[in-house]
Amino acid sequence: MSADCQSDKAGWVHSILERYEGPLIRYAARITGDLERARDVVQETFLRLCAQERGTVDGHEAEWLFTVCRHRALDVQRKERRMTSADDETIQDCPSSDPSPATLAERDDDHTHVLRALGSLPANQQEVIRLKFQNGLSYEEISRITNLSVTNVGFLIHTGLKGLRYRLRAEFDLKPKF
Amino acid sequence: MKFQPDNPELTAYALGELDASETAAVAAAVENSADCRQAVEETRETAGLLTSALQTETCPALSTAQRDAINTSLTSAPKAPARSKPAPAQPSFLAAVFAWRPQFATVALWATACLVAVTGWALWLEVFCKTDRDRNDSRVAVVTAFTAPLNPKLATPLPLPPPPPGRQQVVSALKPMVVAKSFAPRPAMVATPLPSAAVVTDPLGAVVPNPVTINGGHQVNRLYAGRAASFLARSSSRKTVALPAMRLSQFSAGSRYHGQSETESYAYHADNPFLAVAEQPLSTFSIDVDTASYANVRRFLMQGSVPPRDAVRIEEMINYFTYDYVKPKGGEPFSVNIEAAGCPWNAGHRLVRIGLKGREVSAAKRPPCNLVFLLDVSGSMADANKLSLIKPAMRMLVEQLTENDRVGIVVYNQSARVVLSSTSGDRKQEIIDAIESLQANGSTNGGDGIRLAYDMATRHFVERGVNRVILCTDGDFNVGTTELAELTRLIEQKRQSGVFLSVLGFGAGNLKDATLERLADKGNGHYTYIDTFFEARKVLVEQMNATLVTIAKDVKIQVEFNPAKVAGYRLIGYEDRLLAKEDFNNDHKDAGEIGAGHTVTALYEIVPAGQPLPVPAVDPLKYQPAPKPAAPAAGSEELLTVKLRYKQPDGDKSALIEETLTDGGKSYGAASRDFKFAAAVAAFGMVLRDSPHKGNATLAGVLELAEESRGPDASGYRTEFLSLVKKAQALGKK
Repeated sequence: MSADCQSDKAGWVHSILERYEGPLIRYAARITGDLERARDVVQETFLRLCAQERGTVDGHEAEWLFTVCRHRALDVQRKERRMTSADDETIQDCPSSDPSPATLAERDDDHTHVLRALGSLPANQQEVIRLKFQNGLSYEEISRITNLSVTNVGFLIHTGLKGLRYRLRAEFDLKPKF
Repeated sequence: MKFQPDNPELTAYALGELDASETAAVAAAVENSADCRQAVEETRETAGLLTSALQTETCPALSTAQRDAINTSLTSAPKAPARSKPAPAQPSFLAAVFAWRPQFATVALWATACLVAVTGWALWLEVFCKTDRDRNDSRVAVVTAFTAPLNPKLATPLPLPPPPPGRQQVVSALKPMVVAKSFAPRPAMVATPLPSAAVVTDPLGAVVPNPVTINGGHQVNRLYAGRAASFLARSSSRKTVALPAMRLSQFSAGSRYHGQSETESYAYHADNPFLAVAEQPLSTFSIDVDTASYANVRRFLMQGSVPPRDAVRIEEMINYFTYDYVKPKGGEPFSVNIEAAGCPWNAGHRLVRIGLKGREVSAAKRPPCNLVFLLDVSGSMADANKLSLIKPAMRMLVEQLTENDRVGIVVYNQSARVVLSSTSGDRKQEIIDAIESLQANGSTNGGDGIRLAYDMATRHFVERGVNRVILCTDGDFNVGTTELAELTRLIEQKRQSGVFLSVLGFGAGNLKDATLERLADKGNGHYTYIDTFFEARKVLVEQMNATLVTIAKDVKIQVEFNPAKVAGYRLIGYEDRLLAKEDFNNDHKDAGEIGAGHTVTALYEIVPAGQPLPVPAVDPLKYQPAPKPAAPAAGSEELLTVKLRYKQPDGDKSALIEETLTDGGKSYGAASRDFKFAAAVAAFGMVLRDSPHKGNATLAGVLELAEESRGPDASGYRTEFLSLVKKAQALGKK
């Protein structure tokens, strides 16, 4: 491997690291329920990336990263026998994700309501909703990351959004203004 | 096809997940069903709410150790099975590393830090090269050499390949080599070779030009470059060797210029010379609404030192002040105000002022803003008057915003990250919390920050609105990933898409003035220096619309002088804004922008026809007859014609405004107050620069002129100017 190639690769990995480090840890923490384990998972993900031929990842970095990260996170989670699926409580406890309720209360009300409503959805709906609306991935990308069919992803997102709408309407007693 | 509102396909449609034919089918169905329409609308509403709520969830970072592990894995030889590709021959590697990219020679003006570290020791050379496009000027260079022990931690293993036998000595000498960032607006720039210590020989024995510009090498060393430079910034063992030509010229022996400015850098510009109308009847330049130089000069004076002459840019001093020009009429973006009177520092000469006044935009009519603050939070920003000044400055700006506006915050030190994703302007508390949480530490790597900030601005682009990245830094914009030239290209490219860049410079001691000015210039923005809370207020509150709302872009001025009335002329200031006469009608040529309510002022010193030009005579030509001055337009009493070209902020074609001036022979005493004050500021600048054209201008004279023309001065800026002149007097500048 020539120096140029290698330095190109370093630059490439770094630019991906800057962009996806935070989102990946945030995502992994949802699965592992633990920030430190999530960091380990993301570090491993990037080590895998370093060993990867650039050509095999180029153009679909996000999909590749989230797929690898998800597998690793699920492995860790299984190994730790912490849980089989992230339940609401774990998500609430997850130190990396939500600001504490106290902080939330000071923040904008809309956001608080939305995040609380989201937290009450089943874990699989939450996951695809986060992939879609937090990480900007398409149905197809989410389907490949999660090994679900596109139809299945569409159904989960549809059901999740519907649930959110009902909850928010009930909470606000009116349609959220935005 | 008929849909029930509770159908996943409808949701997929609302979220834009369907392909074209599916979309068409669903759209038709939605068209016919109020229930479906409502479901789609609600889905989109919920999606928007979700997206913005989810952006508030924090993004944790990896630990330093984890990042280091990733870096180590990148720099160690790959464990992957050897590729079957033959390894490239070594000379090609060296050739690639040292190839002097010709385009860089043409694009490179301020070559800067060249860092060479040899086996645990670093010899750092900061090369600061400047040339003037006027070939008559001597080329000057300042070489700052730093010798400092290299912290072993800094010597991150670099991903250079192991050299083949026989080439060991060369490569090992190069090992921790870090590349200069070169960045170069002007052609004809030649990097000055460094002293022998830095000259490197290639394996074939030839002396290679110092790696001021190295092809591809920048990526090899990005991490290192970032750390090294921040170390540089703090290094106490630096020595500055200024070549005589660059030293602050003839300032009195008592000058207290030295000290803090030793790593500040300023581009060198000779004062514009007098030009003969017979030879050059046209004078062309781009407007400049920057004001940074004045605030920077103020900082020097208030701290009891004389500003270095290259920090004094007269046009930026004149334009710091607003003048009471008539407001533009009708649909014109600005008015043109020309006035001629006697020249206060040279009795025989005339002074012509060209003043532009941009259309005012009331706060209520301000277009929606999509702002992304890009903040340098490297360790050096912890100093007084940096981050501590940025925070209140940003808070003040945020207070002005409404629900139509958006603000995001990107920060960078060794890495770049989003602190606040683009947030509606009415969520003030959220924005202010994010501002308050900022802390300065670590090294500097601005390149990624710029990219991230532009990404955010582009994502939230507001059509017909203000889309702007606001860079706040002390200016050591130490780009590790990419050379500055590449960043300029990025900024230029983003400018086309309508995202403009403004630069707010902060702090002292390490200000890279020229870099910042150039970045803002390329980004269709302006460069402002913030030295005090009050300056922050002026820029971000009082003149917020001027700072944010561009009303005309690529504004160029071309003046044609009438040889029957004018023997010669000199444009005061604007040295780095001169354009070729052909550029005036060339709409592809970038020029300055004017913001809402901005005033822009330019002064010409005129030598009336019949008087000798204050320039050395040139021998008559031997091989061709001297060009005959064109026969003056019969009977024209006009002194000059001012032509202006400008484009609408989102336009590509320029419009032309033309105005003529007939000199009524007004004496200086009869000139307008604003004319006199601008002349006083220009004279102050010339004295500070010790300009060869300052005539009989003195600080005492400046004081007198300014006092007389101060006027009501509600804002207090003119009064402050008087105090600065007195400061300069007290510092012993005659």
